[in-house]
Amino acid sequence: MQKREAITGYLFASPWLIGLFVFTLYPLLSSLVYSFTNYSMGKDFDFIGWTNFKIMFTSDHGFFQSIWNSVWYTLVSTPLNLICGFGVGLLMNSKVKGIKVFRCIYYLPCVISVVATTMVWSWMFQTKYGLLNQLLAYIGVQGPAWLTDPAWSKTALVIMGLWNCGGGMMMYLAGLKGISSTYYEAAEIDGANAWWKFWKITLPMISPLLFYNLLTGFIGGIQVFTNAFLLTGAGTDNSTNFYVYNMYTMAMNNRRMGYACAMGWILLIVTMSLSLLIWRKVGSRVYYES
Amino acid sequence: MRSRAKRKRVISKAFLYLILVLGAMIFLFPICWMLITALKTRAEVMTYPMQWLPEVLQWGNFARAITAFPILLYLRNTLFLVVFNLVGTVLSCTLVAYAFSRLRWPGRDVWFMVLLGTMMMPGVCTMIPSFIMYRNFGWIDTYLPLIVPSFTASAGNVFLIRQFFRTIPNELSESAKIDGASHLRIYSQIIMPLCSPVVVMVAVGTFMWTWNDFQGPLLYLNDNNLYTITYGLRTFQTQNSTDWSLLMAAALVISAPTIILFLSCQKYFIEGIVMSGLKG
Amino acid sequence: MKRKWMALFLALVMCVSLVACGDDTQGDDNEPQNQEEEQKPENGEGQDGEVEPYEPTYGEVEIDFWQHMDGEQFQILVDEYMDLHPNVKINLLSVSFWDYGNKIIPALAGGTAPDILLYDLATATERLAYGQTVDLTDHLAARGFDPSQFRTASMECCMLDDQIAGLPYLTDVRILYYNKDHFAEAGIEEPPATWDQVLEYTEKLTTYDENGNIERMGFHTGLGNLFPWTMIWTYGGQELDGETPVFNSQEGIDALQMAYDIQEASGGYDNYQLFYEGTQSSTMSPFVMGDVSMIVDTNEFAATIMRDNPELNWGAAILPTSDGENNHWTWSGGFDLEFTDHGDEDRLNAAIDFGLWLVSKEAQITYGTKSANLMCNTEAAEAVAAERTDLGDEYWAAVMESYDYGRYHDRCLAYPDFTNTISSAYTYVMDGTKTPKQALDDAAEIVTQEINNYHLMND
Repeated sequence: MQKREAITGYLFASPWLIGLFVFTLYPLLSSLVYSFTNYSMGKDFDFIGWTNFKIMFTSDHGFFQSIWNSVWYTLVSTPLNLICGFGVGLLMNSKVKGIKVFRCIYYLPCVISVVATTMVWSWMFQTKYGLLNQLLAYIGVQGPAWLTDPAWSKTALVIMGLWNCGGGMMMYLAGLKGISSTYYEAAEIDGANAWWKFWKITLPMISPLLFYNLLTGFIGGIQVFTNAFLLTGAGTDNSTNFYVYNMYTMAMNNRRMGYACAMGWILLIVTMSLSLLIWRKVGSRVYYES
Repeated sequence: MRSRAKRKRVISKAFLYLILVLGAMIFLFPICWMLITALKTRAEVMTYPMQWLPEVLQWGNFARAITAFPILLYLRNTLFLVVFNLVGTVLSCTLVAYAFSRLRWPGRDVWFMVLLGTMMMPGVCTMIPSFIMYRNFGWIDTYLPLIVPSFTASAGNVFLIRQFFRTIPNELSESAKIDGASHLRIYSQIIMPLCSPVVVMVAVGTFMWTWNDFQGPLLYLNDNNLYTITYGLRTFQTQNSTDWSLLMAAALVISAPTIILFLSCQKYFIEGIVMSGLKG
Repeated sequence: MKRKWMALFLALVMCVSLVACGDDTQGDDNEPQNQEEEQKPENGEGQDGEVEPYEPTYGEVEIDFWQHMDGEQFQILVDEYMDLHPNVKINLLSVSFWDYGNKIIPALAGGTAPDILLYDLATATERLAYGQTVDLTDHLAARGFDPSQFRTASMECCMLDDQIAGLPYLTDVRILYYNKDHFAEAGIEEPPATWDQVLEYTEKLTTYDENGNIERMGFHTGLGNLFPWTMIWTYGGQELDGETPVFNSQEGIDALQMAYDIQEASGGYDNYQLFYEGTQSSTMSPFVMGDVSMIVDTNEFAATIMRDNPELNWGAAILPTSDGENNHWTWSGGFDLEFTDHGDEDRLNAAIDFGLWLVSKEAQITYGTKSANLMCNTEAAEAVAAERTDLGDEYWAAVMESYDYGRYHDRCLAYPDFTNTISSAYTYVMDGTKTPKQALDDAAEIVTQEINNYHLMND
């Protein structure tokens, strides 16, 4: 019986396994091989052992700052995105008239292409005439130079990322709708208040989704690249020179693809270790009904 | 007593509306601004500081945007990709998620970690080996690199669906097994219907991703006739690099189908075919 | 457990061998050509090393051509060439400018690049050095081609020792644009010839309103397209000496100090940011709007002015220098035509023939006239200047003079990104974080370190 289930398991998982061996493993392992070479996208390259890694940790001026930038961004954006998405999801679950319209509005940002939204945000963040600072001026606060002040550029990117929380919202909405109303009814009969209902019913039932968003938010945050690439570049004082952005410039501008692959593998190992940690610590507290 | 409770409800409802509307303004504003920009003339866009409203609404920009590039051809190409990606993603991701959530097989958790691991390598490093791999397959300048991988289950979607699958109680599948149902039947007749919201969500997400993807077409397609809609917009951008009103119009035109799709599918995965009575 | 690790290990072995196979295929791309050259002496080197004259021997042939500039004009040229040579079919692919790099770099690395491509002139020798493109020396010699038809600086930029990496196609120069009305108001007669004069004029031209807000900015080195290295050159400084950064010499420090002084005379860093942010959102250039009196920008900026504000009374001049007499330099970029070899000699020859036609005088005039581009074929450049009189004599005088002494970046295979390091140093100076000496010394240190890293990786 167990053996049959084992075979069924592999069978059901076979699309992914096939894809892994045919499409994913070759590029992944190539990059591992490249990380020990000086591959510059040319005809020839040589094996250079651990040189890339040595250089990375001892004589790359931008390396540690790029790590810090990505870490900062991850630590700030992941919880904020989580709270924002879940909060908006709860909000969208309210039974008020016209909520459907609001749901569409809140989801709209995810639908527009990145290229167009980048331009909009570059205008929104302008120091004097941008919308953000004009609104702040109404309440008497002088807004910073969002994109060019090294102290604020990462925050600007976090804000831009929060705007896309509509995606998470939809997910939570689907999840919240799936919580059986019998739980709530039973709780009300027992005289529970809204806070208890949230804490003891909603939160545990939605925890699988929260965990998903935590983990994928973390993995995505540590790889932050696109918004910086389109909006700020490396930023004043390298403030938005994220780890992946650094990899990109090393590979594309300086042709150091082998070096970039070495950086990529360090990133993968670190991300994997931290993800395992999150999996153990937080994942064990997730409530699944099965 | 009753009126006080009613007043409390009215106040809390008003408060709710206030938050909703404020949030809506935040989310809507950039898109409104895009619309306003699309309705301006080229010169009006370029003024600095920004001029808020156009003098005359330039609806013609939308017409120009539509006729400026072979939109029907690109549309057809994009839909072709979308259909294949939808089928491939939904099928493969749900099957694999089922394996990771409702089946026990040796090495399952290790493979799941590997699955997550595939999300952790930035594309910069794998771009060139992938390209070389597809070249060795002979797939460059075809749609194959853009379609076939979607049949092999992407990690993020599998993870998401797996989380949903795990929220369904074991008793349901146990009772079906006792009744002699195979896993395939349990998958298709019990699990999938219960999780239709997330499946629809993944489908909508796949649609949007394929629709907006231009990195893939950029890398693998060398033939003008194979271009997709977002990639066409990018090329269009070069010819008209400073005509932002036209570009915004084009961007909105391109976003329109996804908005319409989302609006029509909203009913499905929000209201859901969730039979709440079946659980608990 | 054990079987799983075996499977993973086998997969690893399989993949590594795939990687190795990948390299062999790349290598194969360049071998057949050499073999064929030995077998067909009439199209390559003869027994005694002399190059035999070339005769086109291909019949029906199909070649691919990628570009990211003016697709319309290139289509006209492609159609014209196909009419002249019915046996040649050219597949033109126009790619968006900003994404071109992301497309062409993997294509070059993966061996699927087109037979003829338009790409960045300044990095042409890089691609040749890494074996991605074809050395044109013998091909051009066999065709009796005379490279003196090109602008000297552009041709030199395409040459790696004695090898020719590409055919220069299109270039640009930076010149000084000035607002004649503003000058008249401030009582200035001539455009500045030295940077001291620029500073002096900036003080006169910058005006404020009653509230102390800036109304008009005289000049700022960061608006437009000047870039710090250009200014350093005009002070007699250099970027690199071989592989040693020398931009932190006294000339470099003087240049950045002057840039800072000009900023202070024109409203300071905050006002500069105000104007600069406008340009980042792709609004009109502040010069075009009449908010800035002088700006350094490319020769193609003139067409922008004519399009966005035809009423503007503008003039143009060559860039100022440290003393007005020496150090006349400007920065040039540009594009060239490069060729890849896929083992098919007919395609390569057809592509080179097409490329040579594209850089001939008439074809270049056809391309350049529409947008008043500065072509690398000197006769064509002069013809375009004669044709587009609408841009004014003063403008063309400045452009053509700059054409003669424009220069490209110093070559640095070890760390091509050094120019961004210089730009960062400039930003540190402008926002007051560092003095010019500090900023340039730090930048030089970084460049030296990165060049060392390159040698650690490659020696």
